[in-house]
Amino acid sequence: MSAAQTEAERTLAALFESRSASFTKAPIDAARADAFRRFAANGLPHRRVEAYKYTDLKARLRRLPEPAGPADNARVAATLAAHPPLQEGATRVLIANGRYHGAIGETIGGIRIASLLGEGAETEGVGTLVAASDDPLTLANVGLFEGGVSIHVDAPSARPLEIVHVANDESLVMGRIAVFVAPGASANVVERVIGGRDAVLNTLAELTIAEGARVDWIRIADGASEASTDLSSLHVRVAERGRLEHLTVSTGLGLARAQAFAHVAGDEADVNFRAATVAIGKRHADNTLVLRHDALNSTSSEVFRSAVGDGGTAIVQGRILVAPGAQKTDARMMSNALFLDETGEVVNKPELEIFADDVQCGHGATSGDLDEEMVFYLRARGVPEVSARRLLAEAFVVEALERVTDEALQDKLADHLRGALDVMGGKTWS
Amino acid sequence: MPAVQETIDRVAAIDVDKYKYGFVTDIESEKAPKGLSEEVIAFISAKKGEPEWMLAWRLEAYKRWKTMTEPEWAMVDYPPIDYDSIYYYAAPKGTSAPKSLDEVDPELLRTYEKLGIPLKEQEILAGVRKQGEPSDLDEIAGDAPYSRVAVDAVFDSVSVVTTFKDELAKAGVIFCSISEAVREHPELVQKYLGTVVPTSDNFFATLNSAVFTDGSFVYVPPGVRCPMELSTYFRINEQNTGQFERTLIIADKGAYVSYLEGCTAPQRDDNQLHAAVVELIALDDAEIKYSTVQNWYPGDAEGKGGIYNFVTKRGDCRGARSKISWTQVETGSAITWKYPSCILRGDDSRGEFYSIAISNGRQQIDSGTKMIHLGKNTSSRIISKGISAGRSSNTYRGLVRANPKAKNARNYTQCDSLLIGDKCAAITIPYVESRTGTAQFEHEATTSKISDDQLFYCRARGIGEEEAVALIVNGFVRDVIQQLPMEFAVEAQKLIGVSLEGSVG
Repeated sequence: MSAAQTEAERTLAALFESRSASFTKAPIDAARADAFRRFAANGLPHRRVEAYKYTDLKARLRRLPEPAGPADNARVAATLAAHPPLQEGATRVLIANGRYHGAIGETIGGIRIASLLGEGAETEGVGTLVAASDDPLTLANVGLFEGGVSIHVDAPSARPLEIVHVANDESLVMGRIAVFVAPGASANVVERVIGGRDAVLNTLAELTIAEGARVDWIRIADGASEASTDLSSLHVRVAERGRLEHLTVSTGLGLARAQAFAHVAGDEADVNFRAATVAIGKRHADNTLVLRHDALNSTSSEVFRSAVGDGGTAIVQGRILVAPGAQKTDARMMSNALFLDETGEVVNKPELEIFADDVQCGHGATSGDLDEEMVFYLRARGVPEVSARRLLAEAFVVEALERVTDEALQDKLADHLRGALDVMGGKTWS
Repeated sequence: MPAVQETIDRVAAIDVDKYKYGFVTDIESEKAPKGLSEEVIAFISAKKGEPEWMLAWRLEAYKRWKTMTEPEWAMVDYPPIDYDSIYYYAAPKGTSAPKSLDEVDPELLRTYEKLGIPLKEQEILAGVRKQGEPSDLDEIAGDAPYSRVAVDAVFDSVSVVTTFKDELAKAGVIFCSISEAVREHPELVQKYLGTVVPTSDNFFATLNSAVFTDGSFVYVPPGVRCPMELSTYFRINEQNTGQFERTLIIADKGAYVSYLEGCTAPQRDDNQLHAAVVELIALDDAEIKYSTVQNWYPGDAEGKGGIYNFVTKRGDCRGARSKISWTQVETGSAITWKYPSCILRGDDSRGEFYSIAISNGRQQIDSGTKMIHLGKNTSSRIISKGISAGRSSNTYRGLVRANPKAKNARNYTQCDSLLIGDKCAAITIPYVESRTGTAQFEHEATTSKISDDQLFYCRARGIGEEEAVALIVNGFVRDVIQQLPMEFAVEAQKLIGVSLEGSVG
């Protein structure tokens, strides 16, 4: 570990010591040891690490809460009951304090679910997508995860999946997910974090989309408190004609960093990322995407919508890399940020790295306050100014939900975003 | 078969021998001992007859430089530079202080003539023709070929001559080499030098502060519109020397100046270092327009030789309603590391950056700008056009930032990249940081290749492929070319044709 080791880094090192005591000679354990060694060599990323320039974790996480033990069944049940699934008929996959909570080797509607660690664990293929990663959050999770779930989707699935992370207050949790979607299969996933005041979550998800498969994945990060931290890393590989529709909805308080590392590996694959962020008050919301096109005729698009007010921060970093030979790539990224008042901070860092010539790539980034002409238009039609501004701000953020196909879900998410905008309460809207 | 011959010719023509300024001037020169030490710095300072404060300033920078490490973040790749094997000072003999052009070594004048900078002709022309007096030639040729440009010619480490000095002095404009300014106008130099790019700024700027040899100094007094374009022409001639020039331009309240910069170097097999610092200061209502056509030797097709162009350029819009505009055409250098920037400190100030960066062969460019909005109602505009061909890599890196007090800041950025061939790279890395809700920032970037439709359209009208590419490229970069002063626009357009030769097929 680097010379000036922080208390948080010492906590992580101690945690590794205790967890590695039970490591076997299995490949997954060797990978864990290797990953943690690589994480420890540099420690928590800080602002001099380019990818973390705007989210300095070394400074923000000086100390970490205690790692959580297995969750209390009654409390988990109560939490779940208080938060019904967002999609009707959804199969819930529960990860409580980082550990899979459910029957081992369950098969529900063509979906096979297993634990990642412990009895009956299924680890085949797990770790493939992160083996070459040098992202510190990914490495920390691979080294330290306390459990998680592997999900195999082998057929077009009618039933949506809801992966729920539940964490004790003031705890450190590192759950892990691996999802494999077979050729031609489809999956519809909502991933949410419920509760966990002042908890620090560092979640890792691996998603493998085989030929012709389709995945819709929505991640909802609703920070529970100023001291809560939600770090998540998604590594996804999309094969030929595969398709991904991803959406991040980020609201609430505290620190959130949603990372996605997407590898467009198959020809004619189509990958789309959307993000709706409301960062009001003590919220630091960071959306970071690294997307690599490695095949012919593939397409990708991104739309990031962020509303910032009352000193909140929204960071968007989007890097699109078109590898040599990835001809006919069409990649487009747009990031728009709206200031709800004069305060706060917006950073856009859209990057293009193009190594093939026959491509169409572009990005756009804007930040600013509402267009006064639009406000005027509404006022001229009798809408009071406050309502006009509110209406426009809502419409601005909600637009990022346009690719959500389930209308009922889209409505719920829109309501959720409207609710988040309410927090401005007494300041802008009244 | 004609097609085969055409292919052979084309392959033979790729990059090699396209650099027409690669000749060497055979002239005796005086050098400082190789390497860098306090003694060498004292030697340079003594050669220039500098006052003690200047030497102390240099030594302070050197002390700091020794503690710094070379930056690695840029998208460029080059073997480590041995700073001890470079000559930090080389001057053509007998040119320490020529009083007039007659005293300048004719060999040097010939060099500049060969480069298309006829120092003598211009001066003579001006002598015959009094200011404002009409001439028969005007009707024939219009203004352009005879438009007068005052030139400061810098050869290796020294300024060999500055033309039109007397005439400029009449208007109150000081235009001379920086060494002369240190001696003649120490109060101005002391007041402004290092205030925009401090000695501690970055590795290369700090190195420059320690060893800078020559460069231009411009002071335009309040309310004066500089009567002619000012220009510096930099030439590296000696082998194994670095060129470390320093330029300082001050436009006092309400003043205006347009400044042009050009540069070339001989074709050599080893790399040479050029680490310059340019500081611009615009006070209330002043405007500075700074244009560069950078055509240092880019190395051969295999990446052998060429100039490492590691330059720090920054303008400070210190006064209210001031304006600084950077225009650059980058076609040369093996490696370019350059970010002409504007600090928009004064209220209502404005910064502009127009850039064309063309890379071919194995050139690597990492260039862009920074617009730092500090004052109220400041605005900035960035237009960057990157063209990559061959096996080159062309990076745009830019920062736009509004601080919380920069109310109503505005920025518009457009950076487009064009790829010619499938072995090159185009990279765009913009940082857009807004810390006030009243700032409006817009950024857009595109990357594409020359569309087949456009090419087909031209070809169908009998235009050769290379010519068609040049035509389309010239259209692509038009926004920037339009910002260049006339003298440079023509040269830039030609350069684009030359740089891209051999890139199609």
